Amino acid sequence: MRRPLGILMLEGKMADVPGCMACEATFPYPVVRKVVRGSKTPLSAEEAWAMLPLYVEAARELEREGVAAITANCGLIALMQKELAATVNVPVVTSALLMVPDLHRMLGGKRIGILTFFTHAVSERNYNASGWSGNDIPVALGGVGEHESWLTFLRTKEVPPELRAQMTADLLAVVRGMLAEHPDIGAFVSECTMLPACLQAVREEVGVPVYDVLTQLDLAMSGSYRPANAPVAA
Amino acid sequence: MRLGILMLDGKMADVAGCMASSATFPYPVVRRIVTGARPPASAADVEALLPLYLEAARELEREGVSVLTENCNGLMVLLQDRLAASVSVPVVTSALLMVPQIHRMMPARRIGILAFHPESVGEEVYNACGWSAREIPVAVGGVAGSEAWQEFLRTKEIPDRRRLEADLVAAGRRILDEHPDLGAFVCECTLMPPANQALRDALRLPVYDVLNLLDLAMRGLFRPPDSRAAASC
Repeated sequence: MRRPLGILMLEGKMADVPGCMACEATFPYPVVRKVVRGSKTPLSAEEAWAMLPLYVEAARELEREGVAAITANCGLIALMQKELAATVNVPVVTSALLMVPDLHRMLGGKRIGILTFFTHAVSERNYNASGWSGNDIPVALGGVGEHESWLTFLRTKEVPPELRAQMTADLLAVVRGMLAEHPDIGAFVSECTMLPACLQAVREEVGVPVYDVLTQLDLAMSGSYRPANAPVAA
Repeated sequence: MRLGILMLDGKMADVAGCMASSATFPYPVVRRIVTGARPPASAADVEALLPLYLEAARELEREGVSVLTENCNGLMVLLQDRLAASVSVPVVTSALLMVPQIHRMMPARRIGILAFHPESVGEEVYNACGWSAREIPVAVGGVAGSEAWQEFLRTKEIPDRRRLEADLVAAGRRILDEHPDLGAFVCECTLMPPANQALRDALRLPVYDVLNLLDLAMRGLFRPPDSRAAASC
């Protein structure tokens, strides 16, 4: 029997949209979600760090329940990747940025485009927490935070069809702008857990690989289950 | 969306889990035999293969593959940087490329490296993958002492799968007994994936191999937000 993915969830309403952590349709393996009691969306790194004891306790509970890997639906928790991951014996993934050093090698040193929501929230501090530095790995940063469509999604946690079309168009414009400015981009990594809802459309339009927390979690989970006969078409 | 595989010249194992088998990958694959390429036995052999591999890699790129790999990981990783810099798509010449991210996912745990010949992996290979054993705690083991694995290497056939699996599990267990802080295995050898699910199930530790890494690389091109769409496509 396949062991599930454990997701540490913030208290409060989360987007129940395919591609988001709270949605049943997102993952092709069993999932256990655990609301971290007393947590709330952190507005600063300090607020995130203050929640570390709550997250450690919840992560240990998930480990005792037998999950194969652990993640969290809050981007700022990634600042505590090392501290959180060191407290359990299963893989912990708090950010897609963890794969950047490996991807850098796979791309032979080409630039990596980092996609986020608010660009001012992502900097060397986040890169260091994921084990690398922008001084060693060439990156470019872009975000959707100035687009009304994405701000609406952030506020409402809903994606009606007409909003989805606008979100996809706006995300595509961000990606195309980055490619125009940096033609040496070899792949994108999406740091934000809200973007996967629209990233497949981007992949199909620009033909440059786009990695996100879902591709990262699929990898982490595949360490427990990847039969030699390819399991499903993907 | 296709994976391009550069194949050595000669008989390769047509066993599920191996690069040559059509059962291994859940996405379309293009294989290209690199004419004249024999299994390399030394770093010098690998260097001599570079021009052939560069040409074949560029050919597959022109044909539109999304990701490139080759079927004999091991020493071929010494060409990783040069092959990857010569094409526009991601290149994977070794499962050891993912060791830094596995380490970050389990920073307090040691990583067990499984190779066919354990003496063939070391700092030179790690450095080609962008990391050092001085920074990431590892322990190395192998299956070269197993008659079943030697036979698989020689014949490219698996007459007795249970022995092959049992010997791999034994190799994993030896590392685990010696290093109780082990958190995961990374299998460097491209012959191991046919037996790796047995290793996962027996030791209840995550096992990552080149198939996991290639699946990841390919998901950069296709990973719909609704995972049910993946199953039907």
